[in-house]
Amino acid sequence: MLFSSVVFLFTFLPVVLILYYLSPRPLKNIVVLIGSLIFYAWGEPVYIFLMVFSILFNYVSGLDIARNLGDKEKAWKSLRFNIVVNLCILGFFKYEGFVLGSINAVLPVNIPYRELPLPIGISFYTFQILSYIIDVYRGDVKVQKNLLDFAVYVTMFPQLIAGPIVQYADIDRQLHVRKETVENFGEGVLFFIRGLSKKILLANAIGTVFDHVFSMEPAQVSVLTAWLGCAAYTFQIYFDFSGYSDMAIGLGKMFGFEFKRNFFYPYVAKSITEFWRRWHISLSTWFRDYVYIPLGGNRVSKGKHVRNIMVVWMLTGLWHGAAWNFVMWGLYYGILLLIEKYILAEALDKAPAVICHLYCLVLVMIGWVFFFSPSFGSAVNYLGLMFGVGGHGIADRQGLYILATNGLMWLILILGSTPAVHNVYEKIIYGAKRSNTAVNCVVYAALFFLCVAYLVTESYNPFLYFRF
Amino acid sequence: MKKIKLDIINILKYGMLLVIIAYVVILLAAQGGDAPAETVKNNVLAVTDTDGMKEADVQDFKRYYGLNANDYEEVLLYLPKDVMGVDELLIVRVKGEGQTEAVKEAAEERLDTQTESFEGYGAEQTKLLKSAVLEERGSYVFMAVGEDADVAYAAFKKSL
Repeated sequence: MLFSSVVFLFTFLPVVLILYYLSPRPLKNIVVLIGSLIFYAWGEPVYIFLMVFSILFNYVSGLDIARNLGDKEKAWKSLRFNIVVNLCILGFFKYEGFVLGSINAVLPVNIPYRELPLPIGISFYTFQILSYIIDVYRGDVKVQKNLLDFAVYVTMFPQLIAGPIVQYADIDRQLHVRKETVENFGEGVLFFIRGLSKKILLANAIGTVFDHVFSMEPAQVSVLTAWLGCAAYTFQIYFDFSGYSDMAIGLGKMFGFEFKRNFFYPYVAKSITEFWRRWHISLSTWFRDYVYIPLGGNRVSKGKHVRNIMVVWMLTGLWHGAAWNFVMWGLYYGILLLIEKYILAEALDKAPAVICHLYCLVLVMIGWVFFFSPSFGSAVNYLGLMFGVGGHGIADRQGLYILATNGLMWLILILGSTPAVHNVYEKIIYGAKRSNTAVNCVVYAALFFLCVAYLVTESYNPFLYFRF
Repeated sequence: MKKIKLDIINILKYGMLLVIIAYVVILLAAQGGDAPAETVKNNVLAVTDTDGMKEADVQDFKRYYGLNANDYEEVLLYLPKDVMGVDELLIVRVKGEGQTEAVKEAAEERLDTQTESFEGYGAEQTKLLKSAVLEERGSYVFMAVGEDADVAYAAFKKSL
């Protein structure tokens, strides 16, 4: 089920909220669990069993690790077994075709295989489960003996399908002790509407520009058009994914949960290092805590540090998709981060802010080309167009038309990518001597109705991150 | 007492792993669904809006896919009614597994040709073509282009 769908907004969410608030405390988690299972089963009636079996396996596995903590070797064996099983499940569903297809392409063999459709959200909930299992092994969290609470942690519908990846340690206490307040609920509604508006009014709108450019004959694409298409996708993916995260955070608040921020205005970053501190924070944090630091982080020799960075970024790329263009995308960032660390650090510190912003934005945009292209070859071709190879000149009427007809939209997107709009709005609403609550309500209600109006007339438009 | 508890945890752990493996095997086996072609056709057509399409014949199948319908168990093909339409539905039940690849390749080629035809001026059509569903399940190959492609595919899967 999509957050941005009429059935979710006007049936599912109200019903679950009413049942949740009418239920006594001991039943609240049951309501969340049943609601989450229905939410998942709506789109994945078959794979709900995979998730349920996975919950049961990992619940028991957690108990096994915890009881062996006194014997490190036994606990380690149990942890290793669990990680292998979880990665095999993820690997089978997500990477079977990629691995066997690559082997068939490279070696003189023809291994037959059948790909099953990818279970939605599997990358997200597998990583959540692994964070729990590893933390239990490390002794960072207590084992969860309550199966219901553990199932709620894995299935919680606000963040089940596209994150943020909530680490168990961050939510352990909230699973059984949390307080729902009117203030939190109200704040949750604002977060949700903000996220919905980002998705419907901004991401979907600029997405049509990207679709248009991407469907053009390469020979008709000028350098300007290619860059505008890439810029459109740059904005689309940000407002789409950060919109989803805002909705997830908002829904969490409505049910008394607090999730950490997943985006922090990434496009205002002045370096790639800073960009990754602001983009999909929960994924970067996961890889830092469970891969990068265990490998030794940066407290190792230069050679090993390079290895650690490249391993983490290759895995980050692979996490996003089972295709070589995603691997290249990950390695691209690994190389950029190493260049910044060992070569550019001082220069970036001294360079004027505007140069740093431009440098970062251009590199991020180039990175998105690997992301939106269906294959590595297609990415290279599109990059060629952006740099004037085989296209339609530097600027043509088509490019100028795209620029001019979406002028206001570009301006809104640029401003919306910075904290400026939000800060000014907050100042007006909360900084005034007289409370502007009524104005705030009207603005958000207007945004909501505008979104609904678009939703009713728009065709199916899922979130970009659903495919991961 | 303690020893029995330890065993239960291990039994449950390995037991659940076996359940997951069995589940995956069942999923793979179910993929080879062998429901009657008539049932599959009826179920898919029940949820598909065929207003913008017309049912095609053996010649059309040969013309647009380069395949002989007689070589296959069953062929259902709906083509766009007008030149600006891209809505299309194809369900082929093959006689043997060796045919599946050929049908999929023909369908891919058809999608590529259509995409090339609309690239440059038909943004909406190109978008639909790029989000077309092309899957194989057991003895069937399924392809759908259109806004309801996902719904048709869901009905197809459910029929098997």
